[in-house]
Amino acid sequence: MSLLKINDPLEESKHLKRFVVGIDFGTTNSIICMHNDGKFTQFRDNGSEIIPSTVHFLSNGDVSIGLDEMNSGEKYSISSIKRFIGLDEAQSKELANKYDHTISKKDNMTSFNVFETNHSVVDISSYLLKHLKTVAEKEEGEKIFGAVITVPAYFNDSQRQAIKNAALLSEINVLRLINEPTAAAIAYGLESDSQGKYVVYDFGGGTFDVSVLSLEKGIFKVLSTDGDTMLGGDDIDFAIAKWIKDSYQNITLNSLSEFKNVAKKIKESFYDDTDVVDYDFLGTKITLSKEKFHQIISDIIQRTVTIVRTALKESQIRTDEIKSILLVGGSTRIKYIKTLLSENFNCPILDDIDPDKVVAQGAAIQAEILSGNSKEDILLLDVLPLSLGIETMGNLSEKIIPRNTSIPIKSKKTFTTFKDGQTKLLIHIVQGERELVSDCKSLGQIILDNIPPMVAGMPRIEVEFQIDADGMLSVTATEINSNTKATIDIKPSYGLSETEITKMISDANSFAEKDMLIRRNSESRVEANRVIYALSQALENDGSELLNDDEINIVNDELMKLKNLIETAESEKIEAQIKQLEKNTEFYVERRMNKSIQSLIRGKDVDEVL
Amino acid sequence: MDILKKNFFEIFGLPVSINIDLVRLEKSYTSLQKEFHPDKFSNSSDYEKRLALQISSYLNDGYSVLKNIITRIEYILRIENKEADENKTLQDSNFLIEQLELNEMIESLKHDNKNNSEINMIRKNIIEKMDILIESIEQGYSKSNYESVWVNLSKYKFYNNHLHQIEGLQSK
Repeated sequence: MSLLKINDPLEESKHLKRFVVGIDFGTTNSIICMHNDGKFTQFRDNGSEIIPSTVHFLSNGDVSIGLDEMNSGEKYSISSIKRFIGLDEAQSKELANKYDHTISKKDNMTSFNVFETNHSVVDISSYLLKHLKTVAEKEEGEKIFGAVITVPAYFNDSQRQAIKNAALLSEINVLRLINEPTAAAIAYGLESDSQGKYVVYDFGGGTFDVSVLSLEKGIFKVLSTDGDTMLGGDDIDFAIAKWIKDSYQNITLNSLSEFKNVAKKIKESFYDDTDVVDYDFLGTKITLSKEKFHQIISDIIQRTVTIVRTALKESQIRTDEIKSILLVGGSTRIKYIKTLLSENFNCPILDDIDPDKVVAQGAAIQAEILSGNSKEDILLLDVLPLSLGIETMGNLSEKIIPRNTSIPIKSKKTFTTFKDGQTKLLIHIVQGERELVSDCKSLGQIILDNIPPMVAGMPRIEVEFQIDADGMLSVTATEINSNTKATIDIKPSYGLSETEITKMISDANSFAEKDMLIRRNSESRVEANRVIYALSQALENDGSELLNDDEINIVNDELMKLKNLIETAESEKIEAQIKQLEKNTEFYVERRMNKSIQSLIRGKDVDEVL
Repeated sequence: MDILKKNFFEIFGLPVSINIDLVRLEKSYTSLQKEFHPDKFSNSSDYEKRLALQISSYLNDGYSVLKNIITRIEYILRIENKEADENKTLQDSNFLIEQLELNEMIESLKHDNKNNSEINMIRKNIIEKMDILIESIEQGYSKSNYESVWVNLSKYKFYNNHLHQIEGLQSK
């Protein structure tokens, strides 16, 4: 082991503390927070620790963020941008209609048309992050060294990538992406030094997340996670808005979203468990009773309870094992949620830490630890929220890494070609639980373009899927026989753009050229070795199954002849022997081909290498 | 990387065995992760980060393989080079008929108004059979009778699937 241990950072660099922050980039509000000497500082924007995740575009091209509304003149505001991250075109359109936005595509991502300029989802997210960064740096008088940014646990790879790209555009060094419920658990865990099994119920503005964790001596181990990235307080607002629109038809407004602000205010009036809320809206008195309010939101809350049950089942934790449920996210201020949760799970509900700030605080603690500022000995072990799969025949997704697998994790699969002389192979990577590829999220495609022409079933293309500690995927593909390598990181959003694919192909080609060079230099010996290797492997794998003794002798005889030539003979002789070998073993290749087709039809990999 | 060449039992300091000390597995796992998790290398060189990523991934893989008895037994067969051909099928017609009957029973329970005591009885019955199979697997393994290990493991998997279905009925 040549790994170096990290020295105790406090000993050597007490005065060299780095300025690191935790960022909770929320659907409705965002918070940027620092943890230092056991104290939290939430940086203030216009006096407020809670910074609305709203971007105001002004007609003169300026952009202002959050509370800053002093600019008069024509203005276009975009809020809840987080809900648009990682959606496909149809989903984006549906959501955009709800918020009265006009969208199109830019860089293969959803983008908003504002004063004749297109701003992509990642652009707008980066404006917000940049603003947060500026706010903190102004107050602290120092540049941020790095940040831990939180994401919904249930975010898929492309959504995580979008956040990372937005941070990149805002010139923020991302120390780690951590899941929001996990961050909350850290904040709670450190405060109370808790041990046992906990459920984090995170109901924010736009997303619902649940994680089941086991806390033990500084180890935060996520056992399972589940959620719905399209379920949040916004949906409650819309449900109330719809009720107002339907019940008070004398209020003539065109779109539902115009009712949303009122709906939100009415919802917030119920935070202190009032019996009836009266609200004057454009001259009409709106009256909503507590019972009716519960009825309106009941479907949404029941959905969250069902998701908690699924997560518990997945973690193999019984309800009576739960020590308590931690509440996170502004929407959990609704009393009815607490009532329903204690009824369903019969355990204490913890809400001591401000549900709006707890995630940012947990992230700040983690940032401090990762930067080496803190000697706090805690470790986060998180899981992959959604299964990773590849497309197999018949539009089916074959799971490679199941959801709730602890990360980081690596998995290998071996593929082969389907046709003789096939030089290209396309691997489609998807994420999700559904059987059909079309029902999963497409993460991207790998094209391996330089497979040496061989008979079908002969090339062995080993594909390695690595999920890192941020929960993000990178893929390496190697053709074992020729050692051709291509590394492709999964690109964000709706699959890969054409230019990205072109780049991938040219990358793969440059590897091929290098490979050719090696082959030219070592003349035909490389080729001979490859043939020997491939054939020996084949014999080992299925020689006795597909060949009788006489046939095995023939193949071995040819192999021996080539092996004898390889050290000493001239390349012409080697090449001649390769040709002869290939001709004399054609029957074997044909049988293998048949076999590999058979196994491909069954959707299995050929020759598991591991 | 030496550590990556070790088998999962070696890594977690456990004897190669069908029944393992799960508490010890958990302890070894967490203490190794505390050492090698990428978070512990966030200020290290890229090369070290890469190694940490590899090791931590390997530990997670090993932990999940050893934690589950089915994957654990399959792993033992693999490291002892006794893996069965993936196309090999179970040839025990009595057993297969029993499985079909079980299937039908579970299907009918899905549609009937569920009878909790009946479900519980079937569940208990299956668990008993699974326990007996594990004993047989252990015996087979101790006598290096890998064929018997494979046969009994295949049966165990059948029951395990049924158990999952039944528990699915219960939690509904």
